[in-house]
Amino acid sequence: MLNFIIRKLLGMIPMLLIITLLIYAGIELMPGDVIDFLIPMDQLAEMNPEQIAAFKAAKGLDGPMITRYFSWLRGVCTGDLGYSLQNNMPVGVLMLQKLPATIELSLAALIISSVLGVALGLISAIRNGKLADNVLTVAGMIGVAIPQFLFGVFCIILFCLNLKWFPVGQRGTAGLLDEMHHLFLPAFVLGISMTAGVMRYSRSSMLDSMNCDYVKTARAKGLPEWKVNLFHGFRVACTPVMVLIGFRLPMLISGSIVIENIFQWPGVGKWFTDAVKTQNTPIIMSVGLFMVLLVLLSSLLVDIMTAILDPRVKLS
Amino acid sequence: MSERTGDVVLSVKDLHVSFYTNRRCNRVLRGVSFDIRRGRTLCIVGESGCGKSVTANAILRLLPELSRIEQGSVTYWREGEKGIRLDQLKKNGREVRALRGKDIAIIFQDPMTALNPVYTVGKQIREMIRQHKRGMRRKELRHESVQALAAMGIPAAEIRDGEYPHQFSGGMRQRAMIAMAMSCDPKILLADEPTTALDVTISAQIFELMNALKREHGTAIVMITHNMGVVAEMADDVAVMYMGNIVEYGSVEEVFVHPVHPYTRALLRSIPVLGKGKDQQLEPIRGMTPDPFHRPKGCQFCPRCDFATERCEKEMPQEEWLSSGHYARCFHIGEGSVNGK
Repeated sequence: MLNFIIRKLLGMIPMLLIITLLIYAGIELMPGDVIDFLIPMDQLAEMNPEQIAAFKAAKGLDGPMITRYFSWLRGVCTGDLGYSLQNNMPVGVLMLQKLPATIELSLAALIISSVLGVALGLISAIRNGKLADNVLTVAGMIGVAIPQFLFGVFCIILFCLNLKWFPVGQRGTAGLLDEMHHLFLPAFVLGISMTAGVMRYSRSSMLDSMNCDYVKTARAKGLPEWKVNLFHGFRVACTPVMVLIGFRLPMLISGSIVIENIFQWPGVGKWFTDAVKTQNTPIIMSVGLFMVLLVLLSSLLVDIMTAILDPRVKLS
Repeated sequence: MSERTGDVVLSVKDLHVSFYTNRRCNRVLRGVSFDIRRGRTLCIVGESGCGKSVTANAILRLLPELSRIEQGSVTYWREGEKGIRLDQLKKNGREVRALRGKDIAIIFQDPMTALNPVYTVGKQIREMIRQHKRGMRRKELRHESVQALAAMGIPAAEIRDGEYPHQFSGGMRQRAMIAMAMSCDPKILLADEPTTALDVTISAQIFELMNALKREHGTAIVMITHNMGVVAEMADDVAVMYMGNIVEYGSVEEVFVHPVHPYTRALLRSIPVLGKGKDQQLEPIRGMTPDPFHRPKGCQFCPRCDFATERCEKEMPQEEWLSSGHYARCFHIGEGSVNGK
């Protein structure tokens, strides 16, 4: 097991290098010059080429792309994520300010979507073909079809403005209860849009499992239905569902960008989109690196989880 | 409810079961009756789709969702108690669950899929014991499961107890299934084609095991099979099924030596006999098994029968008793039997 984890981690290094290089090249390919976003138009018109070159050199924006990539890489390896081109703030410090909010929101949404999705999926599978199943199927379709921004705005209008149950946007500051109060609605909206997929998946996985012979064996043992469903049906069905949820981990960070904008959530989302718009390379690279790491780590996590849940799987 | 006679532990009377699919009704069992006696093996034999497995599953109320016991009774007789009408109990209810595994155990055809892949074999046996014998300590439970495995001739049962089904071979898995089925000392063991998925030498071992259980525990065994050789080997009583009816029922001597139903006789003529040489004339039964949704109106075997008359096309014959323990459902009992087998 340990051997496997170490080998997997080592295997990530070339992947990280290739993907970050691709992102770097992607930024390079964007139209326009960074300088347009750093110096106001009227000032830029008055500067001569030497002044512009000097400015670029001071910011480390000169030289071929590959040398700049490697100097960025050297920085990352020594724990230096660089400085924002816009305001010269260290990116590491900014990340530490913004990331907790995003992770908090994403994690809450992940928990909501997993718990709700699995529970509803089980109900749907056990009541297969009955009213509850049909209602949940239709609800699932609607859940998949409604865009997040529409659902988010609808929820704000209904729950924040009309019913006044929740505050409009922003992150809570006054203690745990206030934080929860602020967190609930954005996490709920983000979670719901993910629930439908988990629900449909756990339903079909559970139905497959319930059709297996061991479920009949479990019934023939005299076990009550809830034990048959939970300890035999669901215990086997949960492995593929866990895989699905595991691979959702990184998607939640990227998926929260829309919700963060709607709910004025002070997370990575808006900061990141602004950075892309102004070609703020150090920020794009840092957030990108974080997302890539998350993808690779969650795939490792999925492998480990599968091996724990299914004794037939051997890590090697 | 009829009274219990002799050492009968379970009696099935005039059982009708229907399956409902796509608004069509398949009348799978059409009046099946038989008795299961203590310490005897009843073999139910018949071709695929004749209702053998449905009969076994109906006894334990393990039928699929879209099926119904329409008519008839299944009565279980516990020592010194009134009969329990299994067909009237609530499906998956408390009463029927108390009987499952404890009084009536079942083993299935394919041991590869009948055990849950994510639990150790020992845990799956203990799960059954814990369900029926409350208040046992962990150590006692483990001792019981290891004993159960060892009693089925599984070597190194201590170690095997903690292994997963995928670490067992097919024969060992079926032994583990039987160990599980026998762990609560049931009065009746239903074996639904227990060796179909196994090779011949392993099946012989499994049969020997089941015979030993019958001798030592007095367990009544219902063996479902489509293999006449198995019947000859194992059975005390035989029920030959065709399209949802028992067409002939009796002791193995009566049915094999003096078969009276045309289907039984045709069946016996269609199997090769070991030792008779290569030049045996095998007579296949002519025609095909009818589509269960378009059954013949009268006797189900009538389109394939050599003795069929007009009456056979119109009505299903009733049980015709030839002796106290031998019946057949045919209008032409005795005809052609002299030159028959």
